[in-house]
Amino acid sequence: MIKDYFLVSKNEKLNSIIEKILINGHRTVIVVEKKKVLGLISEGDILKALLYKKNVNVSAINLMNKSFKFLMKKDDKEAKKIFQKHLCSLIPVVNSNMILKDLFTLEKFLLKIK
Amino acid sequence: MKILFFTGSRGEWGYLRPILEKCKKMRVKFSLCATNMHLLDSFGFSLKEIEKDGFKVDDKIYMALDGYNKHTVTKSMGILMSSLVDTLSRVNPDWVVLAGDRGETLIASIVSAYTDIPIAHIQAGELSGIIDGQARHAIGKFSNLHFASNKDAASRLKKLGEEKFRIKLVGAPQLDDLKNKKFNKISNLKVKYNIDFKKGYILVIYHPPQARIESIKQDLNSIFDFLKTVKMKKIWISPNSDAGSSIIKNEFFKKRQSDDYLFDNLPREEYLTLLKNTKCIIGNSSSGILESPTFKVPCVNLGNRQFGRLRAKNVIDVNKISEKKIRKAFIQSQSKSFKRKIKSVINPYGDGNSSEKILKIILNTKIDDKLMFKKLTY
Repeated sequence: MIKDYFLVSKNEKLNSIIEKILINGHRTVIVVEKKKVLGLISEGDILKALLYKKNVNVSAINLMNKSFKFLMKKDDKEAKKIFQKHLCSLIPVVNSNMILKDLFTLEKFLLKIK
Repeated sequence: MKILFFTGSRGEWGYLRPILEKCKKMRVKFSLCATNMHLLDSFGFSLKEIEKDGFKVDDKIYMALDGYNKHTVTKSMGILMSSLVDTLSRVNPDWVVLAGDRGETLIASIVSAYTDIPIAHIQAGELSGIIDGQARHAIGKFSNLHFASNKDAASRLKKLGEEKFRIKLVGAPQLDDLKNKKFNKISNLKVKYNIDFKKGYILVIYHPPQARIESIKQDLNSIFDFLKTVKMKKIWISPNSDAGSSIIKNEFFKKRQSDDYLFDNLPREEYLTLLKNTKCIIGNSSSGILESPTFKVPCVNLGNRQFGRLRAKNVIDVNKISEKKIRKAFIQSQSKSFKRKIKSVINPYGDGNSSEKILKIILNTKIDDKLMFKKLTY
């Protein structure tokens, strides 16, 4: 079961997105619509939005990264490759219709290495 | 002499960049004005690509009103008109160089003509479907030099009443990048974007066909229904900011599957790498008509956005969009006989040596009464 604080709807505003990121502690949230993954928003995306002078009323859909990394199954090896190459903190696992099934977090991944 | 280059979209930037590189080499003084999609994060913020290419953008004109329907897009053009006057007044260029057929380019041509600055128009005289074609010819009426990319366009300009000395057949400057091998290895993109290209992929670019906004959803249904059945990755490039673009994006998110990847914007080198290595480019982008023949890549051209434009033998047209017709065209495009046929295809838009020709013509053209006072010959 994926916790709610990892997920935002496409119309959610910046304040609420930041709140969820602070709660989940993984520096990223997943933008979903009826469980379908539309994109990811990281702290970096929020910084970019501020740089581009977007205001606090900007919606998740206008903030999110649409070319995000994802996996089709819970494959530790593949997840490791993505974490190492792209330094992202969260990888959604989806089915062929992009429905969110699970997720990898960098934190859990690093703990496993320990 | 100072030349002002004007650009509002990533497509135009592809035309202008090779000329600007020549300007740098030849130490020609120029100023660069970027507007519209270049400045929009939601359309890929291609300004950063321009800057990464090593060019300073002297003027950024914010013009786009949100909504991306017919009314907001038209109103946005009004904003550009009043802002660009200030830029031209401040920069006071000897020439304004415009490219293509977009609404903002039309506005730039009006502003330049009414402020008595000669215009050099790249990609002049071609036909294109929808309102872009009308805009291109209107830009031609305001322009003082017409750079045609092929014989067909040059002869059309003459028929449209343009004086012979203004028409220069030079080819399409965006092909210079292709000739100069400004592309990477596909394996670099695999690493960067974590996409496995092993089984091949289709490049999909579908811009709003302005005259048929109502049919966008239906067209996209057909495109997605077809793509779902192809076991290859699909790399989508976001549409431009024309009216209807938000409908396309929304539909994409609704219908997207795990083998559909979307990029708002890509560096030109990466885009050309994808184009060079794709099994097929599908959609209604001018890149399919102008650039894909150089790479001998099959193009399935959808709808009427590129209607009437000169095309090479690698292009298969699907005028009325349906799943069945796209499938038929795609199967044809992947057949051995078709691939054999396009091995010898020649790009009718030139050989990739245009930018130097264009710049030399501009530099050697005397700005006098003959150039400035246009006689329409019909």
